[in-house]
Amino acid sequence: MSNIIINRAENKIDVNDFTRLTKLHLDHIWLTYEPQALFELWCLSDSDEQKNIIEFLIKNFSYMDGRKLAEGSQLIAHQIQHVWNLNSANTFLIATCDDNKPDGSQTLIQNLKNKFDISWKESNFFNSIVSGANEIPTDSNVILVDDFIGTGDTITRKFEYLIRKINERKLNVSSIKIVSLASMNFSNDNLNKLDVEYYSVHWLKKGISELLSDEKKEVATKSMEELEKKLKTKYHGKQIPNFGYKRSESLFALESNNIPNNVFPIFWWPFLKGGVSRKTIFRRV
Amino acid sequence: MMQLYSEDLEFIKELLNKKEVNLYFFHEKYLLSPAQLARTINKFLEGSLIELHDEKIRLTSKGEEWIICNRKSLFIHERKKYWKEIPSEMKQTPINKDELYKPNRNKLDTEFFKNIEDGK
Repeated sequence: MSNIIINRAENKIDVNDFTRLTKLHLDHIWLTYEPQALFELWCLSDSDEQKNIIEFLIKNFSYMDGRKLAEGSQLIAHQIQHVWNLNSANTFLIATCDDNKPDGSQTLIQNLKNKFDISWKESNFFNSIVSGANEIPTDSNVILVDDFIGTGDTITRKFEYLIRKINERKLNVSSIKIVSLASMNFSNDNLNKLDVEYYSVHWLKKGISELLSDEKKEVATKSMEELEKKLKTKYHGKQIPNFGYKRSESLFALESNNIPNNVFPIFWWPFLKGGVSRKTIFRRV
Repeated sequence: MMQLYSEDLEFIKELLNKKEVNLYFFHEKYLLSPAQLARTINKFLEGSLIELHDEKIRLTSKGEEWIICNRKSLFIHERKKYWKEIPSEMKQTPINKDELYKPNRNKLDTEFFKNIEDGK
């Protein structure tokens, strides 16, 4: 990062805007990884309210860099070994990743595996749900691992797949649990329906409707709608998820990983109206 | 020595000359972008070479000492001009002396050949 070329400004920026942008860059070093992106986003706004909401959301972003990922992994390993008291002889951690699509759950499980005590082996960890569901032995404890739980839809689907496989293979499973690095508060509703124990290191609130007071919420919602109107409504056949998938309003990113579609699209949607491409703070494939 | 860019040198020169400098000054005078200035500030904050309070920056005594100790490499040595380097994708293998080559006919100066034919 330190050796990328960062360009000078093309024109003079207003003193207030310059100071606010510089402070954001100073406090959130990850904004500088795509140095033009924040400025482009700032230029999209045509009112102070829109600038305020951009600034507020960035300040409340949960950005997991390598250090936070390692700390989170330590806490998850502690929960599994010392709170749930599960041991290596019959416990298996399975990333929720599909066999052929790399994702953040693999990043997390890769980080997790060396946080356990010496009795745990590579065979306790599966980096895809397909291989995990087909290979776990009977009488085991299974832990589904995902980096981020947004609405809870995906983890529900993966859980149901696992149950189906267990039934097909006629296995007796002692327990199934779920761990994640971060989850949205509102995903509790879906997680509770699964009737299993789960643990998340971070619990996140919706960026606008749960973090702002009632009087500010209305202005912020209107400002975000105005900003989103400037983005292209469809690309690669996908409709823009206004306020994030199912209005999740998420503010979460795992360093170097695909940004979840639960995050407000102003941070990652790559086209403006008219098909003009834009530099974005985060990327999603 | 940390990697330094032209904006880093402008930054420390100004701090050496003035006791205290406002963030915006670097934009007004040098057109530094917010991302550029933030990277520079973070770089020097890391080694406690500067202090930042309420948009005002000043050198610490450690920072002054560091500049004096490194003045030769900071201000006298010619810096690498990265913008002058030809990007690798634009480079091609040079032709050896007397080596035959096939010219790109579209790029030939037709006027030149006409003049030869006309004996000019």
